[in-house]
Amino acid sequence: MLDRFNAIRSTGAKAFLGLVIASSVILVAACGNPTTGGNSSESGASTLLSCSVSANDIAPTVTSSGTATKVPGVSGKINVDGSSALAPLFTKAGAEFDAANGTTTTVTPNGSGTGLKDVESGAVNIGLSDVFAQTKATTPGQYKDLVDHQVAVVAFTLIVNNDLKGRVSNLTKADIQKIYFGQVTNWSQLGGPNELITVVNRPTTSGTRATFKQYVLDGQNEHNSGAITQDNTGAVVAAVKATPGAIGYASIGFAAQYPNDVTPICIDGAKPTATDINSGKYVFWGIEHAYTKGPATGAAKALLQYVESDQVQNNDLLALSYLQAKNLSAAAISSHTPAGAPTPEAL
Amino acid sequence: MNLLQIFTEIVVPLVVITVGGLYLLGGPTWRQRIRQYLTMGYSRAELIRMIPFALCAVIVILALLVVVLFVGGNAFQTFTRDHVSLIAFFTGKVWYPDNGQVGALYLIVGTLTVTVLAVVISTPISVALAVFVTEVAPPWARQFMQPVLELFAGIPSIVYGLLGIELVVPLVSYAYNYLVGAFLYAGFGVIAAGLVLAIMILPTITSISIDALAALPQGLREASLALGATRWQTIRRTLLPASSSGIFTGVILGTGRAVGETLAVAFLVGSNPNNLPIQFTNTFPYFNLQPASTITVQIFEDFKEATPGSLNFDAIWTLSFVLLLISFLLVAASRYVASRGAYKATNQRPSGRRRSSETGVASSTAAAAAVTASALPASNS
Amino acid sequence: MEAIAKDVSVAERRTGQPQIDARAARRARARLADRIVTYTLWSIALALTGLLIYFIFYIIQQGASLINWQFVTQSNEAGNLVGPEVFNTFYILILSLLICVPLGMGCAIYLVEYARQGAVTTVIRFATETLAGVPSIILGLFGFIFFASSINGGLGFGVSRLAGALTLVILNLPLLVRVSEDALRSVPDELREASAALGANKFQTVTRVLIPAAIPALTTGVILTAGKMIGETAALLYTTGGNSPVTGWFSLNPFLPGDTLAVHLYELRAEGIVANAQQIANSTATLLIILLLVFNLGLRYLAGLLNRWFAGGTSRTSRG
Repeated sequence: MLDRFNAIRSTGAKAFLGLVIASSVILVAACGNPTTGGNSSESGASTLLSCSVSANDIAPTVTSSGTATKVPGVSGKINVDGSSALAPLFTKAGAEFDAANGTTTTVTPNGSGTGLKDVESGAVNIGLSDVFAQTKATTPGQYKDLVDHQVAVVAFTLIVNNDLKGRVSNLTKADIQKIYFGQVTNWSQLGGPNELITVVNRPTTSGTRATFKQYVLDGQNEHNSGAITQDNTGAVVAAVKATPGAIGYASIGFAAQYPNDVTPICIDGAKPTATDINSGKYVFWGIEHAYTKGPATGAAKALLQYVESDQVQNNDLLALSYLQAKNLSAAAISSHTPAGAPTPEAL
Repeated sequence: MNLLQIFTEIVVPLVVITVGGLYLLGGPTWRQRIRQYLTMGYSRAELIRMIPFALCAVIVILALLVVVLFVGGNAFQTFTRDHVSLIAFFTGKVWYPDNGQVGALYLIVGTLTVTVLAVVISTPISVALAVFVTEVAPPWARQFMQPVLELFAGIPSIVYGLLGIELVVPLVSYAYNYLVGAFLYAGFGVIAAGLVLAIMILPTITSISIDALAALPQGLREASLALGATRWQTIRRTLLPASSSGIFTGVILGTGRAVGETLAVAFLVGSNPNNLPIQFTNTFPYFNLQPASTITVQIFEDFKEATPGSLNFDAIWTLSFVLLLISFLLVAASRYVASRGAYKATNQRPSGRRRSSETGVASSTAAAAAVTASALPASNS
Repeated sequence: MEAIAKDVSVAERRTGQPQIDARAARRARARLADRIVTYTLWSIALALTGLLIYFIFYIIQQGASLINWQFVTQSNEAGNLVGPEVFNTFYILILSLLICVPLGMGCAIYLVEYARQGAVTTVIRFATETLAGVPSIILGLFGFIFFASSINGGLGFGVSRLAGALTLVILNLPLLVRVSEDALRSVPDELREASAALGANKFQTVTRVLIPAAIPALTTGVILTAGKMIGETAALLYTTGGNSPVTGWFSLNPFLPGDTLAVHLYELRAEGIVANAQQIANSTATLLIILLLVFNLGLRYLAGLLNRWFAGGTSRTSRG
């Protein structure tokens, strides 16, 4: 702790001096990253190191793209909007689909709420959502006409600042809840290094946060006055990267982009991989939905069929670090499906 | 009944009926008066040729009206449809729309804190820079500073946000943790946001202050120097007081920019809507800096995922309307202050136009000032 | 010392007492203060210039690696080229300027040339100033509900380039009114008088004399405004959409959604999971800064040259 603090202190001194002489910002760049202070005094933590996520666990396994084939009788515009987590898949698959069919697919990542609302009102052909439509309904019966297509699974991972690398690589669900509820504010209280925990969260409206709350926090509302809330995944990663002792969460596709900046960790000894999700050990993941109003028809149906085809599922989808929904066990799917959700349409 | 309906169904007919009624029934005096007012003494042919220009002016007014009416028209559903009380909205401390809690108090406090910080940091620097440009700098430096200010104003706010995360947040964290002697604070909060905002509003305050200082008659400087005052004494005792209303106008408009800035703040402030920016404690250092949130940040973050028709969606529009009212107040304040100044910037004279002898470099700087500042109060007459 | 002695001599003669020490000290202090302030002002200006240069270099050196002709002109399925974004940026910019500049000029002509000072001008001025004070995030929300969506009486253009351009029009209209007013006011009254003396009516004076004469000053203002519009994000996030179609983006269809560079930068930093997203984001930021420099320094310099070339020998010789 002292070493660490001295490291911060000396850099801090430099930085503060910089502040005083007004052209300080230039100095900070010279200071570099000060968070590498040594530390050795912690006791061997019980579960903190019992599992770890390697870069390979979350890195995409393929980099290939799919190739669409022409579907007879398909033309025109396909409008897609909604979840920013699922939009990249549709952007890529849509481009391949357009190339083969001469259609124009537009994908607008503007949030699950908007996606559901727009597909319900007919403004778009396909609405993308991180959550089951009925959980977003504000009035009973809203969204009852929407037909679900579970095109992908997105796994999320907790990430910590790199100064915890090798010192915290696994947290139990109970630990995480204590951290996010503010009952634990220092890593030493969990047997880790003596370092302040900075909690980084997503806004209450975020689909990722909803998934986190439901499956990791067991549905309880967290009220943590110390928590930083960041608008988007990128800002969460940036905050975790910049703050010693910070913890946050991101989709594995995003975390894989920053292998040297933040450290993904295990939950309850399980990794964010297809294997652990399938066996039910890893809980922090969600089903990605593509909704149509009524059963899919025309070009939208052809596009959805293409997205669910092996061309996309074995190439683009894996390259963008999603997981295949169709390969998950029924038990896993049902564990993440709320009661009364309509069965997805088979195309 | 929303604002839009009130306007189209009550205000517009009322105005038409009043004016029309006066014209038809008010006798020749009123008829003459209304005609005089509407035609401004132009001939019929001239009036017809004027239509395109008048139409443009009408469109500008309509644009404002439509913005106000659409934002206002959606702003009251929080109270009418969701039955949140006005008091609960403005004094509530918890913003958790999914749980039915929309207390905006801490958001308003956050906006105020960030704004005040930015203005307090920015004003002295901006005024110093304005004094430098108008009183101290040789012509080459003056010409050099103008693009500098414009570039500061031109850097996109999202880039400011990213720069802030990478450069300012660590700086604040180091400085604070160094001062308190322990690692307690991650740097996300009002101070980082205020520092970056200070840079962002600097061009606004500076360029308006430059205009205000440049508008002072040369005689003021000469008189002061002739009395034996040094340049600094002239600046401090004569020029700054004489241009204070112009400078103050700049500060108010800078405040307006700070209040409305979104993306840069969203990246830096930590956006925890249920926190005060600072919390006082009984143990050293007796206060904690906390991640907080502001009105704009909350609008920005919640709008993406809010379902139309939900409490969250309605509350966002209410927040927007509050923000709109704040910006109106600031504009009104800036107009009032500008109208009280003894020396107005040259392009604010009632007569408006310049003789050719006066046109020169000033015209291009005035255009530039209008760009760096979001708006200048023009003639008050 | 002689100077000081001369300074105090009047007071000394009047009071008959030696005041040389006190007055000299005061004057010396004043001079010292003057010098300190001068140095301080210089260093503030230098520090800010340094800060700006540092910001610009910081951004450019982070993202310069990816930038090449292919990066800025083409698009691909992997999402690591920004051709559509560059195209959309200019498309939306030009579309909104096409609407905005005539409107702003028209309004300014009405204000400067026609309207009598009074209630009407006060209302217009108040409207432009108030509109200029509206935060861009609110205009973004407004643009979404009024131009893009069709709920609550919106125009229903969809999340599209057109909706984005129109939102930018509202955002920049006050600025352009202001810039046009300044441009018109910079036209000397002699031109108006000469035109009237030749028997031109007001409309002819405006269209044939004032507008051409105001164009040089207007150009600079429009270029600077354009430089600002390129970086606008908050107003466009909800109106132009955060994505462009990979094929078919090179069209003039205003109803296509299309993100600008600034919006693209936000989306990449926010949720970008395409390979290399971080680097693409950095390069996008670099591109934005380069465009800003091009507009603020390059184009303006060029406009200045052209103006001087066109205006050479006319009455606008008092410049400089």
